[in-house]
Amino acid sequence: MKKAGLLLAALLATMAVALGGCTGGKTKEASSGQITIGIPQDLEDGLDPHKVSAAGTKEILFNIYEGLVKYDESGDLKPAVANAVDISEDGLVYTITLRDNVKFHNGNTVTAEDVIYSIERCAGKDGNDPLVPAFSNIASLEKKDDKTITLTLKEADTEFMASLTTAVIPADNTDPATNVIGTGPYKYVSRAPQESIVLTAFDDYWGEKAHIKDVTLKVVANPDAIVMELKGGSIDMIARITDTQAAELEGSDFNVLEGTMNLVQALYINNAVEPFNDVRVRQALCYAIDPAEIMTFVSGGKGTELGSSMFPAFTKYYDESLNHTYDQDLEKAKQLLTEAGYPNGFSFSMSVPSNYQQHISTAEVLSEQFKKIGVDAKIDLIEWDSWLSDVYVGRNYTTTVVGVDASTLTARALLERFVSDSGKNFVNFSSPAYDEAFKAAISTTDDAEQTADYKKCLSILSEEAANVYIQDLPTFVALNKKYAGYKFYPLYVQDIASLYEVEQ
Amino acid sequence: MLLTLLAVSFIVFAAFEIIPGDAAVSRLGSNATKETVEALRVQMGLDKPFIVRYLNWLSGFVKGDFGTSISYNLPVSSMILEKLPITVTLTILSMIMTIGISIPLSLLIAKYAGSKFDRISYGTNQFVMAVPSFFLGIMMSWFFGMVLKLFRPGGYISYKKDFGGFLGYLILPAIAIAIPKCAMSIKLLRSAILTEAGKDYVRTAYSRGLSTMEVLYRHVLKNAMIPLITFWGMAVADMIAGSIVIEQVFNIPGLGRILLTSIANRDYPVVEAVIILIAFVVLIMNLVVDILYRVVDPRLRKD
Repeated sequence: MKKAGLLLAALLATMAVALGGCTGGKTKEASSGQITIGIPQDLEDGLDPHKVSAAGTKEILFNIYEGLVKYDESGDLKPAVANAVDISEDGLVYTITLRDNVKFHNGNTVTAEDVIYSIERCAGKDGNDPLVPAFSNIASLEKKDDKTITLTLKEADTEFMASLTTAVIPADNTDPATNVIGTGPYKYVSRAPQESIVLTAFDDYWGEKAHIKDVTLKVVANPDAIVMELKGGSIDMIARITDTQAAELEGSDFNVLEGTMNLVQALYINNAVEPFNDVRVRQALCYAIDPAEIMTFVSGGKGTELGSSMFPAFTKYYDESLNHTYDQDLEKAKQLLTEAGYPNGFSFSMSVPSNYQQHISTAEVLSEQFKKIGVDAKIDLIEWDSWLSDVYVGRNYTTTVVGVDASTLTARALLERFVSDSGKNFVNFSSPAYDEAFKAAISTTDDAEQTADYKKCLSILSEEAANVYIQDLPTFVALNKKYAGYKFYPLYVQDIASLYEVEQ
Repeated sequence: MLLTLLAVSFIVFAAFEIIPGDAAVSRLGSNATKETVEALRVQMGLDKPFIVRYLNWLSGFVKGDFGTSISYNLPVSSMILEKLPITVTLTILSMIMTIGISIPLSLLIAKYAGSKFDRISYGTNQFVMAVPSFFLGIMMSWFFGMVLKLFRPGGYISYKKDFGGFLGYLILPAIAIAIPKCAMSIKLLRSAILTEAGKDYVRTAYSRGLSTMEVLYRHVLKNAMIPLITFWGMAVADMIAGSIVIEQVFNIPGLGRILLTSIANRDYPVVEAVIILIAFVVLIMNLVVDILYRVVDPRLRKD
């Protein structure tokens, strides 16, 4: 038996946790005080933890719901509702021991039945697609005693543990969307659509209790009003402001903290359409661009260059040398275009979602850079919903500038989409070598072998120029100097429980 | 009137059919694949033909069932009822300001017609009329919020929590809406007053020994109001429909905001209900204007 913690430990290195200038102590034991946090959109897809998909919703629900295990700020899985999860040598049997006295927000203690209900609800037992795809691999789920459950898989899956972050809800809760009961450090109080969501600290939380008692999440729908709302005192904190907004906050009552967005921004190319079905054309585009120039223009020089579908937060897989597969070389680019039969260049369109300024600015710089090799790239701004239906699902596009993130903290979440027959392969990338390397990665139980296979996948993406990789965008958080303790997570999480009031 | 509403509802439904994307794609986001989208469409009933969905929705609507919001999973009627007081209060406040400011001011300007004061106010008026509400809104929140610190930008207070605070927050947005409307009203009213002032009954009134102000208030104003009633009726409809912009500027979670986000989420039951409500208000305002004509102008009562 080996400990699960070890298996998934060190998935990610510690992120730079930028704390504010003030270093007040957090001395109070009981939760007190209040904070108003701005959120860019309402939690429009509801509050059912198993059904929400928007990153902006999930990052808030992190505070209300917990799974058997949960992520900490370095991206490691830590036991939460479970006290321990032991995995058998063959990787098939998971023995889950529940932590003593974990309470739901309604005061009941979490039992084995609650856990089994929560997992089965997401396993697609009702004939629908499983809400958590990895759960379709479950062969059996049995209660051994009140505190112990054994879960058996059909086949070994080294990344299965990540899916146990699935929220545990009470077994008698048939409608979690309106009956919001979790085990997290904050409990849900009320909401008003397009206005606000109110949370309050949960006194019976099993772990370190939240420092701030009352939390109001206020919808700030107009991005142009953010700075004014911060300075005017309507909100105390907001995540993901732009570098321009950050500059406007200089010398104010706010600390601006910097982190990375953990996504892969690239010019994603539909590999199936002319002329991009020719690898030389894709490579020519890669040689034509200079990510440093883009970063200067888009975010004042901040950001991290990328050379494949992996961002640096995944230290285990991120390979910096891939950033240099294509250093800017205009002569080489032109030569490749000539070989491919386009000596005078060609023109194509870039579809860019109109609600993401960073991607629009990036496309503008790209367009200028492509002109130097005689390629004319036009920018088509489209609404986000149109992007989802036409580009992402319909694959009816030539190229698009977006950022792709990892839905779970696994390499698989980033790399599975480039397998030829994947439903999420919106770039129509097709490489037998890649498919083989990916298959090898997910079927092995050996960690070192798996890492090597994933790295191979990454270098294939880079060599084949599947996409024109650009950067991992920087992100800024504005936090009033009255508060401190903000933690950046390598995935979409706003950990409100870690914030505390600074004594002044 | 019913036909108009029916046509409006059909056009909105058809528009949702034409624009790309639908609620299923919107809900799934980057988890969307062809299979998951299809499955969710079936679950949401979006796989049925357009006309069937429209008739289903229509029969529910006629029976008073406005449907359930796709994104919020709440009854549309309760969502709208919660937001309606916000937009209605804002409109009433702006209307009170428009009428309260424009009538005395235009009488004053009309009294001094042809003077320097008249010419200066004419120029100012033309200028103010050209300034859009949203720009005024931004300038005002900057000036009152950042410079004078009298106002907290985005500090909207729910009317359920503190009605006084709620009204207080709405004063600036109401002014932003009212000012351009005031300018328009003054322009119309001034010229109407001057036309009326040249008529015989005015001379008669003077000959009875009334002062200029008395003549203007008691006799001229009533007649001069007639063209204004049409304008104000349209202004009310315009304020409700145009609340989207000013609600965005001042971060007020009213009807306009709900409409905007619901369009983005392809939440058609909410969009249908809000648009029909707006269409209904426009039609009702037309009716009110007709009735008011009869009140103000007794000649129309005969037929």
